[in-house]
Amino acid sequence: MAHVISDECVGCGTCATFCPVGAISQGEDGYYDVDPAVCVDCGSCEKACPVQAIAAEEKG
Amino acid sequence: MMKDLLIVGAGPAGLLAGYTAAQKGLNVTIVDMKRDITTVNRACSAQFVLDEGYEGETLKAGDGKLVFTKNGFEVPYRGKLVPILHNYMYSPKGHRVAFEYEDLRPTALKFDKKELLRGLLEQCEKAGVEIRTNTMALKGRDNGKSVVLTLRGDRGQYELEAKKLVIAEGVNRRLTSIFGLNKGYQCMGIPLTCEYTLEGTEGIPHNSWIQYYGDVYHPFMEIMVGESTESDDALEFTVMGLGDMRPAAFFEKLVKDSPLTPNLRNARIVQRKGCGCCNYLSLSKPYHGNVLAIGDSAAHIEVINQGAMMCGYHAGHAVAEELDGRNGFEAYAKWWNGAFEFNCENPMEQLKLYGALSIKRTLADDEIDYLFSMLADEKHCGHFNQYEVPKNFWTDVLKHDAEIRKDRPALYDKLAAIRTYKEQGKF
Repeated sequence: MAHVISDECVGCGTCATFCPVGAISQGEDGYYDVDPAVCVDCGSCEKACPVQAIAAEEKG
Repeated sequence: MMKDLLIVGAGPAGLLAGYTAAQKGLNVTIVDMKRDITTVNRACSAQFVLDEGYEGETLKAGDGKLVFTKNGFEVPYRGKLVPILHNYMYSPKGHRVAFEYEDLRPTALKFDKKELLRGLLEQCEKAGVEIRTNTMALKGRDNGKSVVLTLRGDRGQYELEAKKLVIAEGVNRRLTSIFGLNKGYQCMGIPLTCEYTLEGTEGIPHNSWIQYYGDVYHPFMEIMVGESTESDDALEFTVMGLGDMRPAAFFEKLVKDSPLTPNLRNARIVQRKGCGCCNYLSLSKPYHGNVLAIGDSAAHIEVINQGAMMCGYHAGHAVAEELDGRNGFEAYAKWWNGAFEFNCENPMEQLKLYGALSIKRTLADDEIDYLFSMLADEKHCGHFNQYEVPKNFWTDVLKHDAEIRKDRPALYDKLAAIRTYKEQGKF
C-alpha cells in the first residue's frame, strides 16, 4: 500500500518537501510521483497537498 | 573530492549563496529536487517591494538588473516588470481603502519569477557552480570536520561531502530539522494556498495588489488579487485554506456566490499553482556546527524573493569567512536578526494587528463595511509591505476613535487591544 498522486497535481512539489522518507520525486512531465516501494503511508503529503491530489491507494 | 560548500535548494537564496561563494573562489555544488529549476509551479506573488528601508534595504529595479542599494550588490533581471501603483483593501459591500503615493509612483513591481531564476542560474553556471537537478537530499550528518549528505538523483543514491552546508530548502524545514537547527520550534499549522491565474475578469483593477475582506469572500482569510506577467489581461487570485477546508472549495464559492461573482462570470483559469507551508517562528540562531539555514528555511512566514537574495549574498560571504578561520556564521546571524521585521518585533503582536481583519477574524462583515467606508475617501500612506500596511490602516482607523465610540460601542470595545498597542507606542 502507498499513497498516490492524481491528475489534479499542479506540480508545486509541496508533497516532496513533507515526505519524511524521500519517496516523492518529480517526473519527466513535471508532476510528482510517489515511489510505492519507499512510501510508508504516513499521510503527510496528503495533508499538505493544496489541491487535494493525494490519497491512500484503495485496496484492489 | 570534498566540496567547499554544498547548498540544498536552488531558489533565489540558494542560487545567490552559490554565486557569491564561487566568486570568492569556493568550490560549490547546489542540489535541487526539481528537474528544471526555472519552472515555478509553487504559488508566489512574485513582487519586488520598493518601500525604503524594507528588510533593511531599498531596492531599485530596471536596466536589466536589480540593485540592492544598501547591501551593496546587484543581480541580473531582464524579465517583465509590471508597476503596482495601488494597494487596495475592499470590504464586503465594496468600500475601498487605497494605500498609494500622491504621485502614483510604484510601491512594488510584479516580476516574472522564471526570468529571475533564469538570470540567477546563468550567473551561477558562469561562475563555475555545479548544479545537480532532480536530486533529493534524504539525510545527512555533521561530523565536526565536514558535512555528509545522502542524496538520491539520476545516478541513484550516494553521499556527498563538503566542508560547509547551506540549507535553502524553503519553509518546510526538513533538513533544517535533521541537522538540529529546528530544535524547540513547533509547526503552528499548515496553511494551504492555491493561486489561480484568470483571464477574462471584468471590472477588477490592474496595476494593483488587492485584498478582499469579509465572510462573503472567505470565512477566515482575505482573498488576494495581484498582477500577472502571463498576459496583459491576466490576474492572479490567491485563495487560502487549512486542513479539510480546502482552497478549491473557497475559490468555487468566490466564483459562484460572492460579491465578485459578476466580475468572474466570463473568467477562465489559465494556470493553477499551489503550496503548503509549515508555519514556524523564525530561527534566532540559524546555524549549528558546519550548517547554516537561510531564507524561508529559517524565517517566520516568508523573507520574500528580495530577502532570499540578501540571505544568499550574506551566506556566501559567511561561508568564505568561516573557511578563512573567521566566525562568518555568527556575523550572518547578527545581520539576519537585524534585517528582518519578524526578528525585530514580537511576531505574535504583528499577527494580532493583521488578525483583526483576517486570521481569527474578530470583525463582522458590517463592521468591516463601517470602518472601510470611513477610510474610503481619505489618502493613505503608500507603503506596500506586510508590516507597515496594518500599522497604517489601524493608525488611520484610530483617528476616528471618538466617532466609532459614539456610533458603534461594541466595535469600539473590539478594538481595545489595538488601541492599547497604539498607546504603548508599538506602532
